[in-house]
Amino acid sequence: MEGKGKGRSYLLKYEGLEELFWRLKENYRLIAPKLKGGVILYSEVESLGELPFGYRNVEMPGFYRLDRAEGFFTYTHPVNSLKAFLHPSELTLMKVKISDGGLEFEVCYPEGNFCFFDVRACDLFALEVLDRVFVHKNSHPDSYYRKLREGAFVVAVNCTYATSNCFCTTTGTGPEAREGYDLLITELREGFLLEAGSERGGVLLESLENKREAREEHLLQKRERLREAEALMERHFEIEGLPDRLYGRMDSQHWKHIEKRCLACTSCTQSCPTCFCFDILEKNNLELRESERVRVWDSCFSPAFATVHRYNIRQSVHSRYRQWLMHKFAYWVDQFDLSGCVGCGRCITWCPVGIDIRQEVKTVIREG
Amino acid sequence: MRVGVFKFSSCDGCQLAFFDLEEELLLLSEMVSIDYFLEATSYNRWGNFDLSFVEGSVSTPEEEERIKSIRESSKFLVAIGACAVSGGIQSARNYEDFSMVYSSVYKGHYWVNPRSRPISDFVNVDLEVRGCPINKGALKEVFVAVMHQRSPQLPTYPLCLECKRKGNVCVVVAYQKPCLGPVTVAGCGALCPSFERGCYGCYGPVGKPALEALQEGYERLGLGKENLKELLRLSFNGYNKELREWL
Repeated sequence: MEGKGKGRSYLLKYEGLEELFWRLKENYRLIAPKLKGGVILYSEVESLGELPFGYRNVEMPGFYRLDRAEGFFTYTHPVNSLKAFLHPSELTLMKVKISDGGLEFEVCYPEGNFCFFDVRACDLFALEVLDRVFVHKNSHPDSYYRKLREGAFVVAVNCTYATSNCFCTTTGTGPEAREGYDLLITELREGFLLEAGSERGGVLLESLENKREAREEHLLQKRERLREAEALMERHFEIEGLPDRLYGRMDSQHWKHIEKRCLACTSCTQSCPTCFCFDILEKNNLELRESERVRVWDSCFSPAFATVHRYNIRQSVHSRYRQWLMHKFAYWVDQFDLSGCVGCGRCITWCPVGIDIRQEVKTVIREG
Repeated sequence: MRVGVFKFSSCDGCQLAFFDLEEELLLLSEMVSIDYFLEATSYNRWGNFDLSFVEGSVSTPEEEERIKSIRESSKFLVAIGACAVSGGIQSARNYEDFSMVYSSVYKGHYWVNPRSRPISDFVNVDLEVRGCPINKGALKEVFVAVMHQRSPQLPTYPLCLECKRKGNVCVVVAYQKPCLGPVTVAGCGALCPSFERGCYGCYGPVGKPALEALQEGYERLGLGKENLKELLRLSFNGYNKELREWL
């Protein structure tokens, strides 16, 4: 039957999913969740069996563990995010050499050709955020990001489970994948529901052999499964009008309390799928005849980040925390017309002392 | 440019970072004049130095005098390694009863100070290169920067940033292992967490380390205040100015 996307929807068994995987693998570098060192990480994978089927990530503030569960797509998003591939943590932008008395420039464009397989709603939204930050809402579109992002094929998966740190229903970004994918998978009791979100997704889906048409009941089942995930999350705060409420709290006394708990270790910004700040390093060789310009991840919590002419304008930890939270939920909206927070909860899980941004937002807007 | 490399109370490991430069050390020796470097040559000339590297802590009355004369003879003085920067592993004695420590090591009388101190306790230091030992990348950066009169780009940010850049999984969150990464300066390439163990702080503290917050936050790992203090005292940097008061 007609799905809400492009073309028909189909029901696949595991063999169908494998067929889809191999077809994509022929043409793309396939990035998918994978088990590594007791956690789930987006990695380059060689077969569908490498996905962490039957594992369940249990997350609490400052805590992560894997359990077993019944089914296939039983986990949520991986520990790292797609930022690691589209805005790599260390990227050589160009090399400069002195030759024949002049300068020789070599621009180093990275190879993309990615297929992101098994992307959850929060990370799908993060892709939209990064697209705006680097390209669509950027007066100097970033050619490196564009090169890596170009033509990327996205297979989304609807979450049927949420950890206690997930809050995509609060940010309005999930658990249902709504746009920005080529294909969408929902795991049902009798198989996998496949819907196309783009023309090329539809064409690929039609060309698969191992499939049967989905029926109305399957779309109803999809709704039920999404409700299972929704039921696991509570609404923490109202996202509508949040920037204005936060702007009114710039001088809140609560910010100072954060100073007692935050280590300024930068982990939240590094695990965030949308934090994009970077530094540019010049790596000179000893003779100063060659230089490499490298872009590396930076963080607004780093002491040198706000150091201007040797003076750090954000010396206190609480001023850095305020900058980060306000940027995510308020300044970001002014800059890019959408929130910088996708509700994935990575910053809560990967804070070594378990600071919960949902709680901080609630307290700031309540207490003033 | 005249360069000197000097040793105080230390294991010589940081001086080995010079030899770790391999071919580049030969190249360097053509670009600068290495006038004083006991570990490398028998031909040493004492005089004035444009760039001096000091390894080791100040542990004896003789060393107190020697660091002052090196300072007077040096335009730009760089402390290299945890001993010179913080007092080194030998500064663990600063928190113990000195006579007990002394008699457990020495028979007879030697001039040893009760405390092992960083050189910045005695003279002004222009730059610190962190680590136990330091790495050749940082050393090269100092040479390039000083030779070309720009600021050296050495990390001041916490290890966590470098660890995340490397794609490591946080050992505190995933494995509940205490890690000094949040209060330790980066530069080692997040070596220990890359092998799923906690950072033990050999690069020394970041500026204004959040020690109270760390202690409270790590209580859930079963790490009491005294355990954390012991970790920091044995971090080779326990007598760093940023730590000693709290310890």
